[in-house]
Amino acid sequence: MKTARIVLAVLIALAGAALAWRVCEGLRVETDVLALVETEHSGSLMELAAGRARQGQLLLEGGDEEQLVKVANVLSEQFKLNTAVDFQKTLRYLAPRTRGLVSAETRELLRAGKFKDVANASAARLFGPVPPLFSVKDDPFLLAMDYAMSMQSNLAPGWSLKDGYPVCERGDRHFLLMQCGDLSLEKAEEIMQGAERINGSFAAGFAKIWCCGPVFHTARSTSSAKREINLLSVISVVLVALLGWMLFSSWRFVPQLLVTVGVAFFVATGALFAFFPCPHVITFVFGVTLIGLAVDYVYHSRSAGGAGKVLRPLTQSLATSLACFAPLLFADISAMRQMALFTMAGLAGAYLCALAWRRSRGDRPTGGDDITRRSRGDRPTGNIFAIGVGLLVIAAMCGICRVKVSFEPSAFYSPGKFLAEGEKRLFELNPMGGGKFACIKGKTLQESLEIEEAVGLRGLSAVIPSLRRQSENVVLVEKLKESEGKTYTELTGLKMPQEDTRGFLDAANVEDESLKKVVRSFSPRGNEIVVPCPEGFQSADTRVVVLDPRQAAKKMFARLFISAGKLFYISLAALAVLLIVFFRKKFFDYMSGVGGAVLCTMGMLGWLGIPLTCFTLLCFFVMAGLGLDYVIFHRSKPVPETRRTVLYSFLSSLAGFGMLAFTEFPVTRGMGVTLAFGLFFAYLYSGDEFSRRRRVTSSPEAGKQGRTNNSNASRGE
Amino acid sequence: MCKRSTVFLAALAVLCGAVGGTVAVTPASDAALPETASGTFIQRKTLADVDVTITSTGTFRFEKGRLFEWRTLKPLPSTFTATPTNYAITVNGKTTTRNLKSNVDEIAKIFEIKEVKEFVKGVKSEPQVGFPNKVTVEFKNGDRLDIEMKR
Repeated sequence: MKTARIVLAVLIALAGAALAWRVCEGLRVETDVLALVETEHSGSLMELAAGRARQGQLLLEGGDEEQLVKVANVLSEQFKLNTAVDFQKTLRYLAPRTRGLVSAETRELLRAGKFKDVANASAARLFGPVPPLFSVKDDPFLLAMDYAMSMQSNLAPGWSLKDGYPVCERGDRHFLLMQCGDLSLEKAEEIMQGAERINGSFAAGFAKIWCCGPVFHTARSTSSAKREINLLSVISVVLVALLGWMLFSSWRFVPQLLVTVGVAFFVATGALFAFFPCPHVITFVFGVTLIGLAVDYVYHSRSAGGAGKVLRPLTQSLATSLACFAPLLFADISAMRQMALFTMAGLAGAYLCALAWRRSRGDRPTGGDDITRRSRGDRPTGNIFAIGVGLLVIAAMCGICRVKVSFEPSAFYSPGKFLAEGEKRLFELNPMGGGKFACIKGKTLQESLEIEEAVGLRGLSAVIPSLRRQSENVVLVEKLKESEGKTYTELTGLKMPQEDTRGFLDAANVEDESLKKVVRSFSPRGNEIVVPCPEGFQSADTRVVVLDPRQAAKKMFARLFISAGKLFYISLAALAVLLIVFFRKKFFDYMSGVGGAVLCTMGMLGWLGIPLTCFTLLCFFVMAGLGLDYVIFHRSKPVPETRRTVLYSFLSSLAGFGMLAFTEFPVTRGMGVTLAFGLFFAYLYSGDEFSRRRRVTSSPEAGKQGRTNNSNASRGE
Repeated sequence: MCKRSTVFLAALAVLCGAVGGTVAVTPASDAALPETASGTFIQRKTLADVDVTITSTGTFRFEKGRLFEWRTLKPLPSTFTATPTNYAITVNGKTTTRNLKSNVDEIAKIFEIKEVKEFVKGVKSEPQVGFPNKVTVEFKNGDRLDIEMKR
C-alpha cells in the first residue's frame, strides 16, 4: 500500500505539473466537431463553421408584405437588431467612391464594345422619371446609379429590397429576411423564445417568424443540454448516493468515492494535457465513464474491508480495462487517442487511489442473505429465471438483423420542428445558394476578390468588385466616353468630365455598416472569401476549395466509425489474450459474457431503431471494460457480498450512464441507451447463473462447490 | 390611407416616392383614384450640380395595381415600366430589368426605396386631390423635376 501511495503521489504531482504548464500557456479545448477527424479540407471547413457559428437570420413569412415589414420593425426594436439596410447612408458613402463601379450587365456590354447600347440606356435613364442617385458631374452616364440599383439583385438573385429588408415572394406567400449578423447564444435564445411567443399570438396566416442559422441551433442545443445536465446529474447523484447507502448502510463510502473520482479525473486531465495541447471536448464527455469504473474499485475494496483483500481481481480488472482501451492509443484519429489516454490514466489513478486508501472498517455490505435467497432461491424459481433470461437474450440478439449503421449528420443532430421548418423554408428560397461553398484563399482580400472574379463565382465581387476590376472598368468607361461622349453631350447637354475626382471602393476598408455586413458575411475570417457555389462548380485554381459540409461530415463520421470498429476487434483480441493469461482454460467463461453483452446490445439497438454510429460504437469499449469487471469480481469470490457489491456497482453505473438515454441530443441519447443495455446484459452475463448451470450440467462437483459457497455465505461465513 | 391617396396623382410623384417628402400633399380619398389613366407628359429635369435642364416628352399609362408605364418619345425613345415585381427600361428594343419592389396601386411606392424618398425635399401638385395636372418635385441636392400631364 505504501508503494501505491508513492506511485499515486508521483502521478498526481506529474499531472499537476502538466496542468500548471498548460495553464501558463493558456488552457485550450477544441469544441468544433469537425476537428474530431482530419479529413480533406477539414481546416477550411472548420474555418467556414467558425465564421458562420454566430450568424443567424430571421425569416418572416406572411400573406402581406406590408405587415411583414411592420413585424420586422417591431422585432428590430424589441431585440435591438440592426438588420435593415440603411440604403441612403450607403449611397452617401458610395458617392465619392463610385469611379470604377458599373453593373455586371453594363460591364459585359462595354467589354463587347457595345458602347452605343450603353449610351442609349444611360440617356433613357436620364430622360426617364427616376432622379439620379449620384451627381452627374462625374458620372454623366449614370453608371454608378445603375450599379447601385443592381446591388441587391447581384447579392441575392430573386430577392429585392423593401424598406431596407430583402424580400421575395413565392406564389401567394411573401418572405422577408432579417440578417442578424453575429449573435451571442443568450441573445439568440432570447430571440427564439420571443419569436415562438409572437408566432403563438398571431392569427393563422398573418405572419410567421422562423429562426435560421447555426447560432440558433447552438443556442437551443446549449440551453437544452444545460437543462438536462442540471436535472439528470442531480437525479444521477441522488441515485448513486442512495445505492451506495443501500449497499453499505452508511455514508462513510462517500469521501473515498469522491476522492477516487477526483483523483482519477485529475490524473487523467493532467496526462491528457501533457500530450495534447488542445484536446477535444468529446474526450471529457467520454471520460465520464471513469466514474463507473471508479465506483467499481471503491465499492469492491470497501466491501472486502480493504483493497488488499481484493488485490488480485482489482488488478485483473484494471489490466483488462487497460487492454480494452489500449488499442485506441494507436488510432490514427487524435480524438480516439485522447480518449484512450484519458481513460487509461484515470483508471490507473482510480486503482492506485483505491489501493492507497486507508483500510476501512465496519463498512461491509449488508443484506447478503436476502440477495442470496432472491437470486438463487429454490430450484423452480431459478429455472424460471434462467428460462426468462435465455428468452430475453435470444429476443435481443434477433434484433441484430435490424441494426443499421449511419454516418448521416442527422443521426448525430436533429433540430426541433421549429428550427427544422425554418431551415427548410430558407433552403427552398435559397437566397445565397445551395449546400456547397467555395472557399477562396487569397493572400489578401483583394487577391481573393480577383480569384473569385477569375473563376466566375458571384459572391462578394458581385457587390464590391476588386480594385483591379474597378480599374479595368475605368478604362472601359473612358472608351465609352471616347466613342459616345460627343453624341451623348449633344443629346443630353451633359459634358464629359475632364477629371474624375471620385475614388475606388475598397472591400478591405469599407466603413459603411451595411457594406461591412456584406463583406463580413462573405469574408468572416480575414482575407478568405466563402461563396455559396452552384452544383457542379469546379476550378483548377488550387486557391479555390469547394466545400460540401454535409458530405464532409458524413466522411468524418464514417472514418471515425471504421477506425473505432477495427480497434474494437483489436481490443477484443487483446482481452482474449489477457484473459487466457489470467484464467487459462476458463477464459471463455469471461469472454463469452462480453461477447454476449455486445451482441444483445446491438440487437436492442436494432429493435429500437437506434443506428450504430461512431459514438455508440465507442460505448462498447466501456461496456467491455465494465462488463469484465462484473465477471471478474463475481467469480473471484462467489459469495453474496460480492454479488451484492457487483449488483450495486452495476446499478450505480446504470444510474449514471442510463440517464443519458433521456437527453434530447441524439448522440448522448444513443450513448445512454447503448450503455444502459450494454451494462444490463454485461451484468446479466457476469452472474454465475449461466456458468453455474454450465458447471452443474458439466461437472457435478463444481456445482456442488458453488452451492456450498452459497450456503456458507448465507450463514455469514 | 394617406399614401394611397397621394397616389398620385399620377405618376410622377411617384417616381420619387414623393409621398415621403416633407411637403404635405393633401390626402384624397381612394375614390378619387382612377382605375386607369393615360395621357401625355412634358418632363423637365433640372440637374443642379451641372446646371442643365433636360426636357423630354412622351406618354404615360397607369393601371391601378398592375402597371405604370412612362414612355419617353423625345428626344430618345425609351420606356420605363414598373410592375408590382419589377421595373424595366427599354431602349432600342433592349430591356434592362431590375427586381425592385414596386406597387403601382400606390403610386407613391413605385420607388419603394425609402431612401430615395428621403432625397426628396418636397412635392407640390395641382390639383391636390385626384389626378394632378402638374407636379413639382424638389430634391435636397437642388435637383428639380417638373412634370405636366394631360389626360
